[in-house]
Amino acid sequence: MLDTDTIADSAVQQQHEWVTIGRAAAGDVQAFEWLYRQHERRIYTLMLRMSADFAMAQDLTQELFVHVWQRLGQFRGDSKFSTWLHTVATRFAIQYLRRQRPSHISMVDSESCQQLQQQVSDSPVDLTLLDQLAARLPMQMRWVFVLHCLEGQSHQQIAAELGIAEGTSKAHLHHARQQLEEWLEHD
Amino acid sequence: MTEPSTTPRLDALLQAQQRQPTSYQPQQDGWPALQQRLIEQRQTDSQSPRAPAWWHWLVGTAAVLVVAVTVFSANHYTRTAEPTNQLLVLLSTLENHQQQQRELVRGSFQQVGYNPAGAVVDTEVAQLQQAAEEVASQLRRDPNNQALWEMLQWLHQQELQLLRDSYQRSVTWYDV
Repeated sequence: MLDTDTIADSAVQQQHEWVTIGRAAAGDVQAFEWLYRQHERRIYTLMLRMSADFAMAQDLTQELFVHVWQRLGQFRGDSKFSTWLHTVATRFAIQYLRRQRPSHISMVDSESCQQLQQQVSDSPVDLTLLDQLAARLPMQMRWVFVLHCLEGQSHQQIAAELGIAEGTSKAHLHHARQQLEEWLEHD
Repeated sequence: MTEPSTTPRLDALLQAQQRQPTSYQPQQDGWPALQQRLIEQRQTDSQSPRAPAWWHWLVGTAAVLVVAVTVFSANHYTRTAEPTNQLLVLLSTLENHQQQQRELVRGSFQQVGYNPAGAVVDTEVAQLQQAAEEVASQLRRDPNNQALWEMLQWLHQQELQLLRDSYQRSVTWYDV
């Protein structure tokens, strides 16, 4: 249950975030660092899941924050900053990854799979089993799975972001779940 | 969130993820490289980032009125001065006006026995004042920067609103 202290703390926190956004929008790099530190982990996680590549996730996170720095003025304050940032990040990741890697390339070919497993075993980041398996999905199927099952987006939202039909999004999810369950049973 | 399925093991993993969302820390601190890029960009980009659009409605009619009155006053008393000087007069007027408003809010609440805000709010108010001083300082160097004017007004409004809210909150807490 929320008490008055919690509400007050939340209001003060919100106030602080707004002021910090204002300062960052005016070019204050220190204020922007505060925003970066607040949201870095969640954004990096999204980028890692979308790209299935540690180095690319790091690059994507940096590119995203440069993009956000240039567009802070577009934040209208009619939603939480974290919601706005997440929407921008999702769109940015899709566009960036499409430019980097054509959508027909699948991560389930054996070479890519080996590279990814090597990355996972070499990395100090301890991926959950779910994330390890999701990373093996073909790119667009993975995006649908990540956005729907891990980020809570509707098929309608995903279809709009990816430029596909809602039915295609549902079909991708269906196949992703089948594939993941198969790996869970046999690996 | 997920479709009905015949995949119980996967569902169990997804439910665990929903109960306790996982997030990952980047392997390297990305801030130093990012900071370098932002500083370089700021140096090469003569146009500073635009003020958020939502300031326009946040500032509201009151701020517009304040500006209108102060611009009129500045024009009235400094007809022969350069436009830049007029803007600097306006800046001083705005700062004085803010100081008066600040004292008015504090005084009006304290007069009727309301308690002042706590240390956390004091810190926030101080941060807002500091931010406003920084913006005012930039305005003295660049008085024609519209975004800075809007930001200063927004910061002033936020400070007064925070003060009012904190007094109202303290009343609620003690009365409950």
